[in-house]
Amino acid sequence: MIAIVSDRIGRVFAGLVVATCITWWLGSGSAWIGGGFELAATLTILIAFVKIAFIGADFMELRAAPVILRTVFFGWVTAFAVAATAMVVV
Amino acid sequence: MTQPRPKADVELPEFLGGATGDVARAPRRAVTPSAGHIPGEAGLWIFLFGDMTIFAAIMLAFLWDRRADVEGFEEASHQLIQPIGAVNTLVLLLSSFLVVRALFAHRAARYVTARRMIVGAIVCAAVFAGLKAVEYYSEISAGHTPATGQFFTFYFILTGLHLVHVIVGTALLAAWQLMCLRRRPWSAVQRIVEGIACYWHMVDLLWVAIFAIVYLVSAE
Repeated sequence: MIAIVSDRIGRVFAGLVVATCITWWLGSGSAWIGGGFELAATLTILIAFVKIAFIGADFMELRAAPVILRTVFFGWVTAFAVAATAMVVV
Repeated sequence: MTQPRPKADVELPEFLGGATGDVARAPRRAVTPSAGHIPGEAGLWIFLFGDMTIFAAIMLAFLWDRRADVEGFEEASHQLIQPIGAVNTLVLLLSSFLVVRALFAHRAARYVTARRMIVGAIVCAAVFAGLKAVEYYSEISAGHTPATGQFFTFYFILTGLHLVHVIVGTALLAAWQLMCLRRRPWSAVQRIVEGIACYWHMVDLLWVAIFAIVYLVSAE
């Protein structure tokens, strides 16, 4: 386990696993966090899209890609996250 | 007085994962891409963004239709086997991690390690498809088909399209495995291999969105 998280990719993978467990917990017991449906749904979507951003930046190696490619990717992630959150909460 | 003897280089035999010849002198750590490097082909990214946008449009249409029948979607989403969706998310994340490791190994000319990582990713894809088959069997046995209602129409379209992507990605991983078996040098296959890896990571990130929106948000 220590060997897995010895470099950045390993730490990102461990973070993604933890984030998946958190969203699963949020999805199965939204009332536990006390903020009701809106807060649980917003957190679930937010965490999911942060995960997607890390998959792009570190797994797809977009961190080192040209600015235009990074802008399009993170623009896509942001636009999708905002639209999804708006449709659920508003 | 005895002179200290120089330490001999001990290499594992190839069948134990060791390297031979010029491969043994290859760096063991990942060779990171230079700044401004486009992973794969530039044209590949047009395809990837197009594919991602189609999935995004279907998911947003799902959320739009959900607004008109929140209770119906919530009730239907509770019929899904959420633990299978969660385990499949973890399995795809593990496969993506193994693909990154395989890419680093191939870049450093460590073909045996790369092949092991690719096999691991292919096993993950098989586990994903197997669990998906169990889920489909369970849903259809319970009378939930694409014609049951709007929720299940979207569910089968999104997960079915995604499963097709998993199958295509698995075939691409098998092709990469063949390249490593033939010890194709990184310089000759860089763009193809990076393209295969990025396609696989796209399959992973799309499932992260599907799991959050169809399995979790709808059930909250």
